[in-house]
Amino acid sequence: MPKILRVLFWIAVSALGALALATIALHRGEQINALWLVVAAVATYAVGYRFYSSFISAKVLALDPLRATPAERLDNGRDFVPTNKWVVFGHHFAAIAGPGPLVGPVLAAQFGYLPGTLWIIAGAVLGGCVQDFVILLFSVRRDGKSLTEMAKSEIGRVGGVVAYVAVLSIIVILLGATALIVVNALKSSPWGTFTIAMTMPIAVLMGVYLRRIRPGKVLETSVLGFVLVLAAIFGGQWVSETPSWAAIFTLTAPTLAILIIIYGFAASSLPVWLLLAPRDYLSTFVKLGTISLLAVGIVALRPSLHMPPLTRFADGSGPVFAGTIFPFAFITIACGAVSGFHSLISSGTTPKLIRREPETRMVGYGGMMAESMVAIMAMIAASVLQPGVYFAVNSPAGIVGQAPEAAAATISSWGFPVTAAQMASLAHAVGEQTLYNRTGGAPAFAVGMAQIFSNTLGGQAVMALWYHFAIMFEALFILTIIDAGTRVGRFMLQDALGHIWKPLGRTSWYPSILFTSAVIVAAWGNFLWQGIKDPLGGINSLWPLFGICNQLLATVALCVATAIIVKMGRSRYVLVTLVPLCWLVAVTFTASWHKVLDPNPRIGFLAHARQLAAAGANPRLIFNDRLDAAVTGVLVVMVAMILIESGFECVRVISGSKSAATKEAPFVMTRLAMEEQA
Amino acid sequence: MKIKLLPGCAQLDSRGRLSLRELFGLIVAVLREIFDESAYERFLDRSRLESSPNAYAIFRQENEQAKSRRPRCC
Repeated sequence: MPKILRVLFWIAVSALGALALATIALHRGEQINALWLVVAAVATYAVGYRFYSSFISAKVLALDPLRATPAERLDNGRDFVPTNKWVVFGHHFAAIAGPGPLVGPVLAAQFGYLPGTLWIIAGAVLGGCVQDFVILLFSVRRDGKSLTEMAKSEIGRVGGVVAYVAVLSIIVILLGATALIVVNALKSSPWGTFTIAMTMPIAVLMGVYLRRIRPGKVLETSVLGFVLVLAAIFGGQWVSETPSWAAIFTLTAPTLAILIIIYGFAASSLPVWLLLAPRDYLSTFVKLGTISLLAVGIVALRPSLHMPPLTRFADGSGPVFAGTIFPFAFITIACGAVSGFHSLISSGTTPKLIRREPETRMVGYGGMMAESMVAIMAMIAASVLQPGVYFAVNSPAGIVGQAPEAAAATISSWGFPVTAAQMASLAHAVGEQTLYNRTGGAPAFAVGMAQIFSNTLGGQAVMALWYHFAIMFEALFILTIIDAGTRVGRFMLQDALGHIWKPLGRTSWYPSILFTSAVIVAAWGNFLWQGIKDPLGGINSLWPLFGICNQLLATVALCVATAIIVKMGRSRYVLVTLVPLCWLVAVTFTASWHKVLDPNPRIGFLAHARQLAAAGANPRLIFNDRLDAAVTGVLVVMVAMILIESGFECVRVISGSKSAATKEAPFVMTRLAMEEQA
Repeated sequence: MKIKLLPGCAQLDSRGRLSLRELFGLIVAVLREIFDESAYERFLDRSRLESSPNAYAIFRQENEQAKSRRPRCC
């Protein structure tokens, strides 16, 4: 394309993006079309990718197409495999896309669609994509080293320990929070519970088929499993309409919590390959399919957003979770904007598959853009709901009351009209007994998704099927994360305990497996139990705590990246990582301060503990609040330590008192460039 | 001129274009990597084994050890 056309093209894309952003930011009083959000996001991502990531590639990182990557140098056909960049991109995206970008935006929609949407777009382009990109490249240049190893070698021992503790904490809190989402989605729902229960025999069947009949044919097996899961969704409808069967699958929140805790322990400590691996494949298959389907549904239907751009809850009095837009919108939406967890993937499998350094740009920066787009779709799914319905589904009983009429009256008094009859009719349409107090984001997302899907395919008659498809998708997805996360946490604990007593570090020693599995399950099970007993719905405490942990991990990752950029002698470009780092420090430290010390009992853990103590509440609830405060405090102190240590390291390098040497693997000329030319 | 990217995968022409057929091939290659089918093929190549229930069981055992240590994102 001639240069002048290219210039005109990018001017047009920028203008379109600016127009879309102005439309979503300045429209007041009337509904806007969801497509404006999609256009704003796509245009901004396109400009960000074309210009900002290009600048980072050329000036900050100086990507070298002639430098051999570890995938080429250490190619062993197993961990290190030079792989096509699109294949790595798909693999990376499948690894980073979890329930976070779906749940966070749904919860943050209580502020209106505007704050969350702007944060998702800006946070991704200037923060999340940059973090994923630079960490991926730095890991590639260090033979695929993990974030923890890079923190240790580039900053110091404290860096390594903090990264380790942050990772373990985030895993534990993530598992507790996501398990709570599943419990809230499945409680008193025989249809949903039956469908999820059926995924277990289906997975075993898949396992037998995969192992005995068609070894290695995972795609074929996943399609078969998917068809069986669809049949289970139809079967769930029959179960929910048959009183004797419905009674068996109508479970309370504590019963579901106990079952999930037992499942997590069994998955971590028993050799249940036949169940877990096929479920993992099935979950990935459903995840990729559903995300694609949702994208097609939004573009085909172009729904209007009923949620206003800003709600009255910008003042911090929101029923979904308490707290003002700053800092709480920015920790509620982590995945989708900036997610510290991604740095683990960018320094895990992905760097070992990269063929050429320049490909890190598309995989790291581009992969996060795709994840951010998923978050935009979740924001749309939440915002297509009538606000009254959204708040009725997402508000805990402790805020709006148990009785449907009382809840509807409270929500209507906030200026979001809804009636008990309307909610009953909606619950009936989606095949549930009630949709009140379904906190956690998943049911609201499922209702929104069902609305979009049923308007695209099948009409209102199949809304219940779409709703339960969405619930199945989220629950299956989260249960896979629970079993995989428990095992990862168990291995991390075994690695650490092995330094204290060697046998505990042996991953095949059964007493060690049982002990460490029990510790990890007890840790996240405690948070889950705390969530279901919390009169404020649990998500009010757990999701912000998870968000703080995730963003603190991103702080650690950006801290490591900043130190490396300084050591590379590129201090003049340090703002690329320093600006998002400073922003995250401001967000996480402010949020932590509020969560620990805020005098409002709905926000501050300690204030809530004092309120409970004054009311003579169960000592266990008081302990939970104090535990949450302690976890937050410890993490903040540790991250402050890594900030100080890396700050000193940077100052020493810039002042010349320490030589600017990084721990990169030595340069080796690639053979792939010549092979491609030949 | 065609640039080969990966055995069994799509190819780009010298202007970086993909035909629909090649795009389909690329999507299949991505799915095969995500679902470990390519990893299984590499394992068979490396171990000089034919695909069989036994070979797949060995592959799973080897693969699971590495996979179960990988963090899964939120």
